[in-house]
Amino acid sequence: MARSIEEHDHNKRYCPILGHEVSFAYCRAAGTDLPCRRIFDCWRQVVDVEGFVREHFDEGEIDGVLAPRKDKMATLVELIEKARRDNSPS
Amino acid sequence: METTKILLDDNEIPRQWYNLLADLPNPPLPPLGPDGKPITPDMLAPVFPMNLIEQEVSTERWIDIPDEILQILSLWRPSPLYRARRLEKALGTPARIYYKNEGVSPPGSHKPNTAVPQAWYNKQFGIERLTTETGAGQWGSALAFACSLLGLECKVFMVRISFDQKPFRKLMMQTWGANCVASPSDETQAGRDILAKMPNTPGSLGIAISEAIEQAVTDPTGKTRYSLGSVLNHVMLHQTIIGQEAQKQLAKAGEKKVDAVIGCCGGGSNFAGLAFPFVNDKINGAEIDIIPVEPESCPTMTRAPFAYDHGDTAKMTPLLPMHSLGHSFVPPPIHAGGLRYHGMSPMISQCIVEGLMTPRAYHQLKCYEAAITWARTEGFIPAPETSHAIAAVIDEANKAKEEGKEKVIVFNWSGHGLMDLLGYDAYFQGKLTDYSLPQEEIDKGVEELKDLPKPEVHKTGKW
Repeated sequence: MARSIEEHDHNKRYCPILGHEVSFAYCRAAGTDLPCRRIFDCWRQVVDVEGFVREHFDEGEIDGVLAPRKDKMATLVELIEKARRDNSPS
Repeated sequence: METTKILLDDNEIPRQWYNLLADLPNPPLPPLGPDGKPITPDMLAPVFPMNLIEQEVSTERWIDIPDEILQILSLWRPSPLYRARRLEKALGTPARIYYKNEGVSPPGSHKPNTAVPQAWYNKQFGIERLTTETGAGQWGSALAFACSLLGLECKVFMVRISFDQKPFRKLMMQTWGANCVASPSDETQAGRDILAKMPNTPGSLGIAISEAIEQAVTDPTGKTRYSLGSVLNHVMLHQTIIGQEAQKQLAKAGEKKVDAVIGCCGGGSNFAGLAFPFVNDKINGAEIDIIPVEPESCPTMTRAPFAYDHGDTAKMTPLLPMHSLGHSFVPPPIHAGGLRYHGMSPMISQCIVEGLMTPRAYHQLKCYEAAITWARTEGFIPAPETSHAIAAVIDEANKAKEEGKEKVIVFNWSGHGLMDLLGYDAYFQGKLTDYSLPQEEIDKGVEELKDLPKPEVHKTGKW
């Protein structure tokens, strides 16, 4: 029987990105439907993260989580273009 | 009585920033835009004023600090250089340990060293409002402080979960007159799109950045720009005032040679601020170990090779020069997502490639142990990030003891940990453990890089 996606949510730890404590619930869906890219580093001491991710996310989603962060400048240029696109009269 | 604090008068504050780009034997490779071509200044103009973009790409060695900026910085600068005599005694080391205390600024960190100049240059360019993103609020509060002193509006998108859980820095921002809103918000298309899909989302730093950029880009008056507190060249430039002050203070203390310069290295700005002026010394012949320190759980600088890699597993994005473990690195236990995180300043990456810096990684238990040793000798409770630098300092001091050498060690005490005490609580309760990624998993991930183009590794071989 599949385990609940919420089974580890009670665990808490310090988030190096935000700079304060968060629960596992945040890291498995960090603002979107996908886990934070650091979930493996941050939680492997406490949670079987690999098993958890494989159980609740498909391969495409896991690829999305593992994708490396882009160069900051490249990210900014992409966000500028996205903001313009999203706000241009269609 | 022995001197503990080495102070500079207000009029001894450095009057120029030091630009390492002028002296690096080989400059960093350029970032590539979505079209695969190098990013140009014009592409950044919607979010940064041209005077800051000019600094971003400048190769001038010295850049004058305007008097008005110096006047504001003088509220807390020059920051004191401390001699950690009590730690030296506790370790029984012949090393002399010095640290720059950057916790003395009004917001309590090194961040306003760049927040103030960024706000000033934006104002000079005719900008009336700055936007930014923040997590727990260290950068947001620094920018709010700077805007307050310069009469600019400041809009901070604070990640929702932080906004709800961390009220203190939010209150600091409000006290300095900033408009701090929870992200995602309904003020931007990016925020509204997320809220439509996930009304109760706790947000993320990525969403907050999107909102801050969007507000800058879409302001019809053209009077809004975006501000970033790490990674970029002009941020590193502004922080070099730390290292230049330290050099003057060490001379004042009678030190003629520095043996080791150490700092924790996340986005790189606090480390770069202290280290870059010493890198200049090293380029000019000084023998100094310059040591950026990172967590062992995320050893990007210490264990990932410098290579061209795709930014995504689908290989759709252009190749970027980076320290990478391979674009589809999924080791058997797929625990290493963070290892592929590429958030380091390109200049620091190039210094590592060149051999000017020798990064180290430490396990978190050792860092907390070092932090507690520090707190029980020197008194100040360090931030979790700062504890990585302290662990390296203690190692260097113990090495000096073994070798019987009177080494001079300098490091950046980047901030206090009084808002991060829950991490200490977890340590005391024995909830923290260490983990190190096996080499064979790294080797397997890196194997796939061998067929990709190799970046030109420009290295003189001098260091």
